[in-house]
Amino acid sequence: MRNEQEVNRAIEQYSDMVRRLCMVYLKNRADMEDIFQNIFLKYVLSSVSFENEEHEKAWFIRVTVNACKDLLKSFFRSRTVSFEEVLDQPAIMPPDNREVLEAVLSLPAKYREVVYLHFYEDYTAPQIGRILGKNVNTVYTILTRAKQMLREKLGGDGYE
Amino acid sequence: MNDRIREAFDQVQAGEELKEKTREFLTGKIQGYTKRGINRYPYLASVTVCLLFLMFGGHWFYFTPTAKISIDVNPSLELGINRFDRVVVVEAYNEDGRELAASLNIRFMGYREAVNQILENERIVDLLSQDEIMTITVMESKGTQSVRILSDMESCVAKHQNTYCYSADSREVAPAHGHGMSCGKYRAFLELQKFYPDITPEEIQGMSMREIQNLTDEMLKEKGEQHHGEDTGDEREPYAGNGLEDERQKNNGTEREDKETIPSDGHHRHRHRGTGNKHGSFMKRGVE
Repeated sequence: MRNEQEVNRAIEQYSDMVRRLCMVYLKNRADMEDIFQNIFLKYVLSSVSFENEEHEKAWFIRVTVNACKDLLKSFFRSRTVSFEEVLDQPAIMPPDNREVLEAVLSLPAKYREVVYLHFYEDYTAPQIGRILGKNVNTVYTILTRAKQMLREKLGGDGYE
Repeated sequence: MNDRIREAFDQVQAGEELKEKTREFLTGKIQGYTKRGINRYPYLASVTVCLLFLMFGGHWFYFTPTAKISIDVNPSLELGINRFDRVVVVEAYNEDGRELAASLNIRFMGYREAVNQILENERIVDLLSQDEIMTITVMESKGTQSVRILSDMESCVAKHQNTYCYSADSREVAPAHGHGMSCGKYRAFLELQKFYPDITPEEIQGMSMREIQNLTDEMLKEKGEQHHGEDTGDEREPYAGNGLEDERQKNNGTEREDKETIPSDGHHRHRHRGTGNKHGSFMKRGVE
């Protein structure tokens, strides 16, 4: 079991990333909170010794993605789909950002996760393939299609 | 446009409220785990104690002999019988006994089957055919088990020549073992000691049951007539013979005396049963 200091550091370091990943998958705040807390509980109880920070970050991504997917499979999960609830911060979100997020969240789940990891976390396709357990070519295909869809939704040609 | 996505996601952050809630949640859980860990010890301890109790209690319950059968020819063996009528101990009291025990596989077998296996053992059959004597002595114990075993042994010996069945007081077990003898042989020693008060257990140890019997017979021959006159008229218990008894009775007249008797010294009580056409006088030991 990890000590309090380690846990506080992990919360400070990875909570935003976990929160964003939850948003990519989940449709309501209650589910997000549950997953968020459980991810850090898993971290507390986990005996995995991380080789470096990258390893630790990849662990958080993998565990969060799996937890969200498991929840989505659950029959009893809440199915609220209000965008305001998904964002949870509608009042302070600038319109342009809101538009982009709406566009990303409107993509199918398998596109959303790849878009987030590639565009925000700067992972390459092979890295995403390793983290998500997907074939690299599949990741490339998903990325290409996601860029097309986003271009259609948001206009412009700057998605590379 | 990549920057637009980055900026948009930048707007999504885990608020302080969420982080604080998570810290509280984790604190509660960690304490719960720790507490549970601590509280688990008494629980684990009691479960362990119960398991140990069951293990040792079960072991004791099954492996403690509640009855003993002593089988003596020259090989001297004692079978410890548990409450489920299974042989749990096979103990040899001389070298011949050890050899015999090594050639048998009777542990955990029902006692009837075990005794039958001994009676059918090649070496035992050979000894009995050479005029040796086998005694099967059942130690008396509380409850009905020893009575039942004795009854079974009686019907068992009835089918075999030169085989006799006795019961003996369980108080004889400790002194018998103290002298390195099986209970059956010790019982025979006590019998003989009545005629030869100076005889010691060490002198008896190396003797076969036949040799002990011969000594007893000699004394009985001397005192035979007197003993006939002293018969107390106690209950006589016919035994299930093998048909040879009738012949012996014809030969010896009133020689067949099969009875239960309580010696005046009160040390042991024995019931003689047996069969054999050549050693009817052996049965006289029951007449005191």
